Amino acid sequence: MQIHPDEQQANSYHLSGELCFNHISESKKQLLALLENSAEYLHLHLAEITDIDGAGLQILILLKNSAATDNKRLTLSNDNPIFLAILEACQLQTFFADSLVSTPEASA
Amino acid sequence: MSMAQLRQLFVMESSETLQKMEDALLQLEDKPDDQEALNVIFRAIHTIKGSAGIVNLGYISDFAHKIENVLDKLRKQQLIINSPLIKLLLDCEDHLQNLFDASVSDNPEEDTAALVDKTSALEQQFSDVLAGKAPMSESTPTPKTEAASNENDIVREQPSAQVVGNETETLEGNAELHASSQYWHLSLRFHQDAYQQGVDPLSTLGYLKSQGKIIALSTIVSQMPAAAQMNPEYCYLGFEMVFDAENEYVEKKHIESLFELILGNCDVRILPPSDKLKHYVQLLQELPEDTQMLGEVLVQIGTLSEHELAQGLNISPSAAPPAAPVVEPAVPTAVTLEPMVAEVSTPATPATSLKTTASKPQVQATLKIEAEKLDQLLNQVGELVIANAQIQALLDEDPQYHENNNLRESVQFISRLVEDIRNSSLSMRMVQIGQSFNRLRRLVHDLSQSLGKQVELLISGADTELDKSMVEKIHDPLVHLIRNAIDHGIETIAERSGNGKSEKGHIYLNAYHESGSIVIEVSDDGRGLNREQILEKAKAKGLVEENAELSDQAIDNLIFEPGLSTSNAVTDVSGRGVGMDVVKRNLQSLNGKVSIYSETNQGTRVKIHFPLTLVIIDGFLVNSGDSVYVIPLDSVVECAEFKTDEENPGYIKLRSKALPLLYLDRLFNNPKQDKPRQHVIVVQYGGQEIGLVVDGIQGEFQAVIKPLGPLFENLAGINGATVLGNGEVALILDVAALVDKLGQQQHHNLPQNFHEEEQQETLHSYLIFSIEQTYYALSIRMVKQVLVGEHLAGAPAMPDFIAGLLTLEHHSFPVLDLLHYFQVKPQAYNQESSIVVLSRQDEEQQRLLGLKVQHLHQVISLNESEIDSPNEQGVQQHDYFVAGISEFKQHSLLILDVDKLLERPDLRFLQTV
Repeated sequence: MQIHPDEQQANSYHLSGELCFNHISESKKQLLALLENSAEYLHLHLAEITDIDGAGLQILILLKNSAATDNKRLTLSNDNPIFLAILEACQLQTFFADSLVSTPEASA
Repeated sequence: MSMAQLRQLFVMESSETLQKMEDALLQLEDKPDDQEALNVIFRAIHTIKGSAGIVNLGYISDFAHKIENVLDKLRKQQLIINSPLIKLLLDCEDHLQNLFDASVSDNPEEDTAALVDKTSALEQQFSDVLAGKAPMSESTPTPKTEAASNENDIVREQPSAQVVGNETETLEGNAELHASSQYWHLSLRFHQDAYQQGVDPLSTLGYLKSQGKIIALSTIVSQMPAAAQMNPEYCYLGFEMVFDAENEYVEKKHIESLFELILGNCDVRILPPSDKLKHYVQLLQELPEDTQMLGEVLVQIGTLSEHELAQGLNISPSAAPPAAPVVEPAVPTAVTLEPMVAEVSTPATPATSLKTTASKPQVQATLKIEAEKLDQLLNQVGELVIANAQIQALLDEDPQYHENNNLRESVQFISRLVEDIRNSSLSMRMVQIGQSFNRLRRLVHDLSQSLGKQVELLISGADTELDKSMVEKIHDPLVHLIRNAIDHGIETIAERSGNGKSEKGHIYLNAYHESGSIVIEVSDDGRGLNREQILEKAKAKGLVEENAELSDQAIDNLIFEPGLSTSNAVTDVSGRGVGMDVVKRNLQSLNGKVSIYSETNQGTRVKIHFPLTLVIIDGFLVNSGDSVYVIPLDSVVECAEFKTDEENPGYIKLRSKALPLLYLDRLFNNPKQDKPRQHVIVVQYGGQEIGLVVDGIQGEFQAVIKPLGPLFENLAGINGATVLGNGEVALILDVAALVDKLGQQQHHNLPQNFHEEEQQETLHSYLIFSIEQTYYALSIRMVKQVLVGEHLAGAPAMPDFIAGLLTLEHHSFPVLDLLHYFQVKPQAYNQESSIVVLSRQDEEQQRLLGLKVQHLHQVISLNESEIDSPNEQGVQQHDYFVAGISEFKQHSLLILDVDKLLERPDLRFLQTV
């Protein structure tokens, strides 16, 4: 998985590649670091993610849990069909409901 | 098989029997003198009486017995049939049906008790009838029957009321409470190392979706620790789901098998639809998550209703306080997970299995289909086969077809598919006979007990397959045969030991296939048929004339006559003289044969032989004249070229056996054609072989049997017709009938089997040849082979009458030219001259000798009485070697004694060659 900062918006990052078990430890570190480095708000563009598996889903769940613990806000772009299908399959739409947005929130 | 299952079977069958009885009753109402209909009713009641006794429903048996008494009077015309009586009988039929239903209801005691009054009411009416009272007059029966039908209605409602009662009863026990969910509940918790083992919860979901329908689901993520402790390579996911297996009959083990591959990486808990509430509670408590929270999850996905959850947690047998939240371990360690693993399937299992056996006693991977639908399918497959043959025939005529490989491949593929479809649709109808046999075990057991005899049933060939409809149709005859064997055949224990037999009698039931037909043998080691008694009864009944002399076989066959019973006592089991005639009728309707062999004090064997007629058969196409015929391939033994010098001989010799011949062209009056070559198709049925002489062989063909119209139904020798690829109709030969036909002729003519006859020394078969208008006969026993136009090696230093040396099977032997030797006018042989190879056994070895003869005719059989000794006829010329004289085609026939011939001085050298 690669991470590219969004050039137009701070605290906004584009994820690309696989969010899968193979490099999951690295992904966890990278993503948690992003969250830590964000002051209050983090937005992740998921459109370029090519695959997500159970381990990848777990990391996103962890990220959301951690954000809640840290009193930070995490939003995810709702434009990746793979991710949306997984949420549908696992009935996790409600869990992520407040995080899914079409564009990063401007508030930050 | 349990008694309950046996009763179910009995009820199923008897209900059918009742239906037949009803039809016959109605028929009888229209035509009161219809004796056949009366017989049908009588047999129906008789069968019910017998079967009810077997399944311990004595009260039904008693009731039927009373009906039978009335019917018996009707048969003997001591009672007149009128519509009130018919009505009474119809009432009885309804009542019997109610009794049947009650006997297999959830609560047989109560249900049948409710019927007792009705039984006695009907029985009272019978006594009235027998006493010549009531229902004969028009007025009384009507109110009675009406009252009866009202009672019926009440009775019919009874069972359903009972069911409701049962339910309320169970609801009272809280612990037995069932959840209302109609779906399976699956609870999945993946092990931490699931990912490392290659198991992904997401893929598992995908897999489950392909196996059924996930009605609702909740992903459990509460086991996920905080970021610091969370190992991204561990799996923390779990699912609670409502799963629809989309199959009514699915068992828990089937669901379990879905998880076979991941079982080592995931804890799976399965609760069947509407399982006991306490099992859900158990599940909630076992799972690592908060019980209350999980309970809400279950409510959310619809497994439990809120009410059920509340109720369930209240009745929870363990003291765990559901209100106080259990503190979840922050990191679920292997230690906490371990005990769960052990419990995976155990807690739910006993309840599940109990539940499934209670609600669906027979979960089978089978499908019940109406026989009619299957017949329809077979019919369509039959049409498909014909259509395919047509396409094949059309394409074969098209020159382009043979060049178009793609087309040819496709057509061949379709042909193969058609054949597969045909085979599998045929096999759908095939069942093993064993099931039917096993039902008889119980019959034997119960009958022998009620009769105080010891009988063992020995079954062989239970895996013999035959058409389903056949199995059903032969069941009744088998029951009758076995019943007769036990009742009449097997002696009492005292009798047996008195006769030096084992105390235990045996009944052998054997089934096997024989060239496209099924043979079932029922034999016992009992006392055999009492021929004197049979004859006496038959004479008393007027079946046989008073002073008739009958062979043993003929007497034995008398037991198939209707109304003949040798038993003096009319029992529950048999003895009213229905039985063997039913057997015979049933089998005849299947085109079967039944034969009986009996030996006094040794036992009786009944052999049932019937064709395995199916809708589609593999046939063998032959021509005769302009017509094409199909011979069922199963009955074809071999094909041989038909070579003979004789014009239409009655027999040919095939490998030391005489084969009787049947000429199809003559049988069906086909115009005679000059065929250079004819063929003999050797067919067999019932252990007998005959040769069918045909003009040509076309090869194998899948024939769809189309029944002939009613007009041709009784045509002997034809079973049906089929449509060929070119649209022509071909007749299917009924080999059984043809063998029979020839067998009858043969009785007057030639024995079926040479060897048997030789041993008896009464009939001999002879090969007839002629030399210059003189006919000679050679005992066929000596004849090894007949050769035509064989090349002979020269025989130097041998007398002139030795035609040469012949080599056969690495042996050279001289050929004696009889024409030359007998020194009739020297004349050139015509082409028909043949060599008869004789085989003689002397002290040292088998010796061969050839006889060159002018004209070979045929094989005939002669009785010893037909042969005169040579002296009486005053034959002088060749009397040294003439063993006897007989007649052939109005000529005298000299029977050659080869041994004597070879004793002549000039031929003696041949003895040692």
